[in-house]
Amino acid sequence: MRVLFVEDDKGIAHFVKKGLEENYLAVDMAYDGEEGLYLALHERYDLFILDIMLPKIDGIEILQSIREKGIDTPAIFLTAKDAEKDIVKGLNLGADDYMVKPFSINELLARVRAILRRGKTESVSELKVADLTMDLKRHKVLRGGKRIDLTPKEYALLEYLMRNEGQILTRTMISESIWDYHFDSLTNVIDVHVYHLRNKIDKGLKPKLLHTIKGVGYVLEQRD
Amino acid sequence: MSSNKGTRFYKRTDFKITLWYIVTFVVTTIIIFSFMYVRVKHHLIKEIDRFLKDELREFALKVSETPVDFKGVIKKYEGDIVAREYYPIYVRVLHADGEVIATSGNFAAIVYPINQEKLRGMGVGSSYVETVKVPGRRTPFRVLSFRLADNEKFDYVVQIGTRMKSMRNTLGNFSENIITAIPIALVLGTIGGWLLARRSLSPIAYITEAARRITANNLGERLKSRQSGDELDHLITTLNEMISRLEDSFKRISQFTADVSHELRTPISAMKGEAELLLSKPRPTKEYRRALVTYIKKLDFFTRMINDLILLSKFDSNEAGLKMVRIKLNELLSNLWELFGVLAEQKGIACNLGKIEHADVLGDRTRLQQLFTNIIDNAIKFTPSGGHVDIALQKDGGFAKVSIRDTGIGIPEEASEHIFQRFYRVDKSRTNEIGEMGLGLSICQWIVKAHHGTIEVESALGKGSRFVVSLPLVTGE
Repeated sequence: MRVLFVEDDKGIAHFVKKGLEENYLAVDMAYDGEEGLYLALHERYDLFILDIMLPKIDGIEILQSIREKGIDTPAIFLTAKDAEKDIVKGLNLGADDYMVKPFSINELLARVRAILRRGKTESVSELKVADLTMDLKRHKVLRGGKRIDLTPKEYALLEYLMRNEGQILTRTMISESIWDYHFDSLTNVIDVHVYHLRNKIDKGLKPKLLHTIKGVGYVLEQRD
Repeated sequence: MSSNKGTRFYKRTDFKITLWYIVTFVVTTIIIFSFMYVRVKHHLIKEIDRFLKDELREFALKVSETPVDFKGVIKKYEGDIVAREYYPIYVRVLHADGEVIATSGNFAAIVYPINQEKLRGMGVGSSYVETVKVPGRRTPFRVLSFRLADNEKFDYVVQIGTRMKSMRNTLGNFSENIITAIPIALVLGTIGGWLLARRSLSPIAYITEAARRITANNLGERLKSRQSGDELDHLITTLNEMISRLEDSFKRISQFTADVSHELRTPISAMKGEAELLLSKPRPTKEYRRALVTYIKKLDFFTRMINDLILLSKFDSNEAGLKMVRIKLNELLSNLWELFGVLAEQKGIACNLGKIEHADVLGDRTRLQQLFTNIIDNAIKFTPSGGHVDIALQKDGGFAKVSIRDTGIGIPEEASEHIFQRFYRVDKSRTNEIGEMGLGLSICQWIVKAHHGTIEVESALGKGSRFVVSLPLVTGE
């Protein structure tokens, strides 16, 4: 998978490129709009990540030119907090998603994955991580064959973690997708909920499946 | 008047006032003079008519002494009054059918056509008066015609007239005076108008000057009132009030800027020091990791603070961009309780969801979540373990009333009026604790305001606080 990333800020460019590459994506960088547009029109990519405020040509114009040429490669915008008009404009032009700076690299990665995976979702009736299984039809969760009772929110949280096995989920991503809660409260409330879930699925069992990535979030995976 | 600099002459208020004054003054003068002219003329004519009637009576008297001898009477008469300098008398006697019987010498020299129709229409003893223009004479004549009859003895019409020269002179004199008076009135009016305009406008020049002098640097200054209690004084008071409000906002802004810098400086210097220390010699990976984790936490705090500040500034400029939709407030609260209840539990506080009525409000979901999170979060934070937090929702007179009561440390009375101010903290020692920046309640207040609701707090120090948020209900579809 090949990504074109157009961003003039060297600091952001550096860590996003690194993050994408660590997740097995090939990244081409452009540091201004002109270069970005040239690459977009002359190379083949699976995804564009475009900053809106760029030297020479801005991100919205790049997308406009790309779409006019009939290239419908998915695109994600990066934007500063205040640019609500730009966001609407970008989405109308056919951008697939946007991220507001400052953003979490893990959230960006999750959205990149979601876009690249799109159209390939196979319907499954069971999720499985090591000996933890979730029966999606009967809403039953088993660990090592033993039934685990979960509250509805715990079930939803576990399902979210299992569907994103091996991927870091931040607290914001969890509160948004499980509680439809869009405001960063800066409390450790998500940690408490994860702690409760962990007590039910991991306590006294090996291997541990639900891991904390300190300062960032959580990941569900079997580690060797 | 320096305030007039750059204003075109004809656009200046004093000029306009003067102009209006002059126009009004002159028009009034002309109307009054014209009226007087007409009245005087009327009176003068009336006077002439009376005079003619007197003469006629005298003539009739003389005729009755020597009846039918008109020529003799006129002769006698002529020497007496025809040669008068100012009111010479003109006499003519006619038969009722219009035939001339006798004429004084001077009457013969003028042409006064005999109007048969009018003569025939005259009854015995009746009369009529006419102003007659005579060709070749500048002044018209006034002529009185009278039917003089004495049963069968005689039946004649006597026409007696005089020149209107004296009246003409009087009126001419009068007009001349008026024509001389109007320019004088004009000049006086102009001067008066100008003085009046300048006098009433001079405070405005002062106000303009003084208002111009006041800038961001001397907002403490005020305009001096003239203590006259008029509209201009009222204007000065209003301006002074406006300057006070400006001064207030300026002070708030600079206080705000100072607060923000202070909020940022402290954690940033801590972070910098920590990083320098960490890099001063090799450390185990674990330490770097721990430092980075705290960095992310602090950066989250900064991000939150920036977002809050942006939000507040958007509220200030009314550009918060709230997406108002119909929201089931009871569900929103239950969900929040479900999310945050664990925090209370973890701290050993009972978080009770009391009576929650169904209530729909129009609101922005994220902002309402933020509003109640801030209050619930505070309630949990300031309540010691063993206490409880109670959340309830009731409908009351068109409002959804959300009550959040805690058994926490409470708010001191002197602080309760400040808690909605930006960066205000009841306990100054909590300054550096993460998540405590004193913007929360200020934002709450704005959110409530933007939803046309109210937020109230009652508190007893050491016993707990109760926040009540009232939001207007939506009913129907």
